[in-house]
Amino acid sequence: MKTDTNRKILEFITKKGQTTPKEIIDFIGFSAPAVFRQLKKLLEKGLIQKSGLSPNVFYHLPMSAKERIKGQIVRWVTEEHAFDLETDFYCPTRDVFQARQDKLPKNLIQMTNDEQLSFLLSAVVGEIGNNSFDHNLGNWPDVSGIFFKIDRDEEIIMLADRGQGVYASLKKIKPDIIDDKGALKVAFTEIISGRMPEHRGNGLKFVRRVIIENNLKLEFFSGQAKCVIKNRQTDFLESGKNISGTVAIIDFKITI
Amino acid sequence: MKLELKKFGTTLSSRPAAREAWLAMRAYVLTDKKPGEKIEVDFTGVQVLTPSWADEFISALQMEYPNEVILLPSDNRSVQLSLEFVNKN
Repeated sequence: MKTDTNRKILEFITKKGQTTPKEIIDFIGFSAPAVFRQLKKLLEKGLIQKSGLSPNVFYHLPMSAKERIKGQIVRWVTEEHAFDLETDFYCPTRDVFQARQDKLPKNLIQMTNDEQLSFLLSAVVGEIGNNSFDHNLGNWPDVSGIFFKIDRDEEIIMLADRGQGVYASLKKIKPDIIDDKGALKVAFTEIISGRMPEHRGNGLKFVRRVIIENNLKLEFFSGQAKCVIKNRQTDFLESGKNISGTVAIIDFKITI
Repeated sequence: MKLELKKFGTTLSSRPAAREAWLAMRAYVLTDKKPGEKIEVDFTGVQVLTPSWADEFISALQMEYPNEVILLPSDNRSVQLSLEFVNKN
């Protein structure tokens, strides 16, 4: 019986990626103490890990800190109902984002010791973050604004929104795009504009150029697709996730 | 005449901010421009420039004053790359 419960819990965590104790209890249907006893055993065996502080505790399969951080933000955009973000990383309006972005060059210089790279990365963050506001202003499906966080330890910058996503934005002005992957390919490689004579649509091309020139890594998710730029190569792939809006993860660790 | 962009901040990022900068410049600074006078755009002190800001501000300026806008050279890579993206389209 217990083995069966453990297996069910493990399968549930595997399926969800990361999950809260409440979700596990609701799924299993046993009392909270009984579920916590099983969770403790799974933790002791090293089959799962626990992250966060009460009341924001998550259980997940063993993973690196970087994978866990990425997983949390992917979870924010894949859940049907968004959980509340920490206020330090939530920018409900463009003004809040702008104020945080203004501090970014100085913070990045401290981390990278490279002034020009820090300015370029700040421009990349500005393009991605402002894109979210530009394309969803007055039209956010549920939660307005964006998530924006720099993780100093893992040397990653993350941005995410629960907006319409790239495909929904682009198909209005380019109806021949048929899916998320096609939309990402256009966004990262073709110049288009939804409001001529503005050169709107340049942003992600600029992002790609900066990432490639500086041999950084970008993972950009939208809908069921992702764009991965790594080792100066760009690939457009199915992500295996369904992301409402966009998620961008920039890995700026300098590789020599 | 010279337009010093650092007066709008050291991080020039969003389209709405650029639009506001352009409208202010047109209403209060460019009114002093003499006919035929060149406009030098100075990027000194700007740390971060995005293609969106550049497109909204520089393209509007170039459209309003064709052949009269001179973009002064900058050694800042984000300025160089953003201008390249705006000018090649």
